[in-house]
Amino acid sequence: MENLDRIGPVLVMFLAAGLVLVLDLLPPRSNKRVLAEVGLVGVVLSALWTAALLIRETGGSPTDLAFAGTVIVDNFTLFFYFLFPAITGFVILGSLDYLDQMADRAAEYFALLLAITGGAMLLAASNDLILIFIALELQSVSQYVLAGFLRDSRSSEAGLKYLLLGATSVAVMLYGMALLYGLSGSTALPDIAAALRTASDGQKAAYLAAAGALAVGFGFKMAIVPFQMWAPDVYQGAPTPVTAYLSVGSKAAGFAITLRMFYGTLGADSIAGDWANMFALMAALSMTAGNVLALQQSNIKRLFGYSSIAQAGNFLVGVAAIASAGGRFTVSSSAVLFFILAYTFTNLGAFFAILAISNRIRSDRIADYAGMWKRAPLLALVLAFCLVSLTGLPPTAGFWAKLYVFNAALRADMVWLVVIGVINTLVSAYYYLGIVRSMFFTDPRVESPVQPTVSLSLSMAVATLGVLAIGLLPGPLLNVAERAATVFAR
Amino acid sequence: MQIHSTEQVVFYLLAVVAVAAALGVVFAQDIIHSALFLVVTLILTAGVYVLLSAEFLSLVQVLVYGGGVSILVMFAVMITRVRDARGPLDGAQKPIAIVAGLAIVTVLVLMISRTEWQQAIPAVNRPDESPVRVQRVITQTDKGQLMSDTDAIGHDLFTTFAVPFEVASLVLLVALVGAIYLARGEEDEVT
Amino acid sequence: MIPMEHVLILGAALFAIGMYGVLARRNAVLILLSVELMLNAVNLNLIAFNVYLRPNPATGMVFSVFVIVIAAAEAGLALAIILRLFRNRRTANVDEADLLKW
Repeated sequence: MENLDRIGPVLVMFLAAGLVLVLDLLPPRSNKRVLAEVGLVGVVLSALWTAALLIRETGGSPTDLAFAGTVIVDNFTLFFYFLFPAITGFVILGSLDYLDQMADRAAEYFALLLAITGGAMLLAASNDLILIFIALELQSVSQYVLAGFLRDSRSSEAGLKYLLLGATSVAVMLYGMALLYGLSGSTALPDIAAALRTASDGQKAAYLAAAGALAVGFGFKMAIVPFQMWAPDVYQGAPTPVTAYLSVGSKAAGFAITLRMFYGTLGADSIAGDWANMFALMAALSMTAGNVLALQQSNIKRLFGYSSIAQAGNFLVGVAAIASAGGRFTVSSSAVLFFILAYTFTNLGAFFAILAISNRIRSDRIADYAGMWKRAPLLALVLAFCLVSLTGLPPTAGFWAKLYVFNAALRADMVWLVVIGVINTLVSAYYYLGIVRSMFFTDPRVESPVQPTVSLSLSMAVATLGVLAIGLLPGPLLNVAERAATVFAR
Repeated sequence: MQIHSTEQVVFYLLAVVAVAAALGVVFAQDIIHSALFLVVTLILTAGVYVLLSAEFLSLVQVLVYGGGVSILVMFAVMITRVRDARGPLDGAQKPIAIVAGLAIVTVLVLMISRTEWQQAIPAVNRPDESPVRVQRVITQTDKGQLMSDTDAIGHDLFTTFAVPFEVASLVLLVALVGAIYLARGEEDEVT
Repeated sequence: MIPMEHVLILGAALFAIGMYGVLARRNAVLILLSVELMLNAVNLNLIAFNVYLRPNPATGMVFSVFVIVIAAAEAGLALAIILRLFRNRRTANVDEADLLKW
């Protein structure tokens, strides 16, 4: 029972997913809102369970293991136990609007969404290569289906492309995992860490090869260059709420496991410097390529596809920024976690605004956002505010997030990376603020007003207030991030 | 020694043919041929598993991979009538792909031959180093008896790896739901 | 006994061939076949490590059972999506249907 208690929040998610599928078969079949409500109840119950775990200080000890050591529930896990259901709650609220277009597909949609969430939470709690692989695949397989969910040719193409590239990256990742297993004789992360600490020089190359292969698999999830090819197509082809989820949830899951794997397991001095340099290079590439390509986009979902690649580059700056001396992972991991939080609120807020607008004007073209200020003042304000936060200007969450990450990089003596980051911030300002300019300072082609629904307005309000609150008062959330990051303090 | 060398001869034979068939998979200009080459590679690999005395895995390999997956691919090829397709099966990036493939095999072979694999073992086996490992060893080798690989796999699946095992069934469920949902024909066929 | 390195090198060769196929092929089914080659190479590695380095417990074999299961699930899903694309475009040619630009 104690074992089950540790993964209770995950089980709630899976149960909710199953319940949604079963309920759909029972009469009355017309009422699809019930399914969304089941999902939301699942999210709330899961969060309550996590809160209970937190209050009982389950995550207090650094090695709170369950299921023969395959599952670990520490502060880091609890952080993501809260984050993923929260994201899903938002996305479910945002999908209510979409429900009319989905007709009889709602059950599959919500069930998959909940399954992904459970998978992501389990990934954050994984302490074994096999569980990491399975949890990752649970997410991936559901996401392939959701990417192709609209069943039109563009969506199917997105799903196929996502699947083929995903399967390839997973194969490479598995090769790396096999190497780690061969080197340490175990798939348990603590065993691998122990083996790495006593590894001879003759094994260093193999460990580095394994690290590189793992970075391919995780990098695909995070959508960083050079494993980003799928992102723009999938973002454009998938249903908009799914795009919102992918841009936030999938990325966060990728970073969760990257931190656990590289900081927690492969963090020994002998190879840490090497993979940190690899991530620094990827960060620079991601920021630059994402921003430059985003400049040329005319479709707003595609633009967010590229912008999310650039943002992942910002996260990666944090991952790469391990200090050369004591407490080497503390500053950088808390900065990354804080960035993930800030980015989650910001990007979700932006996507809900886009969702509300594009549901009404039936277009994803940026040109059609012209003069939105006159048609929907509130929506335009929300979107503009979130775009400012994505750029990284005060008084928003994005500003502090960038500050902390760049600060971590400076402490790790990666000045060149910070310079690239700042230049990229300027580039990104051009297209982010370009949308703002077009919304506020050009005349609309059509005058008809755009009204968001209640559920969308609610989730938008929460997300925007979150961005503002973090922007004005970053302290409390930084504390949360720092507590979660204590796991990596050694 | 005699037995060992027979084993080796069989292995090298299997390996050479498997690699040749794998090359057939990626170079054949007909999808059906490619799929058949894949079946050959997979079954030969199953033979290698037998040589490594992993009988259970070789059986699973033949049944699931060699049987199920290949048939699935054949179905897809037939239903979508890919064979009628004209035009090359390879993209313009083929030269880059060749370079990449050669680079990968070179790097991997160098890495494999340089690494001191055997040294890896003792480090982890020390019980005081790894609380997790201790737990596992106790659950798995009661009385220190040698289990057959099928026993050992079954034992591990339902003890240490119970969570991945259950979640794997979820993955299958999700894939099933997804596949039915995506492939099912409907009035609302969009073009 | 067969030297372990030779089994690993067989795995490396299969893996590289699979990677070549993924990069070079335009057709979705063929890319899928190449990925299966790569996964097969991974399994070979896992089993070799298991047999030579740590005969007990059978972690590597368990891992490869999982890999096989997931590979089958992925293949099934991939073919469903390919079928869907085929229906959408009414084309007999998967090549035309996927605009895979790398």
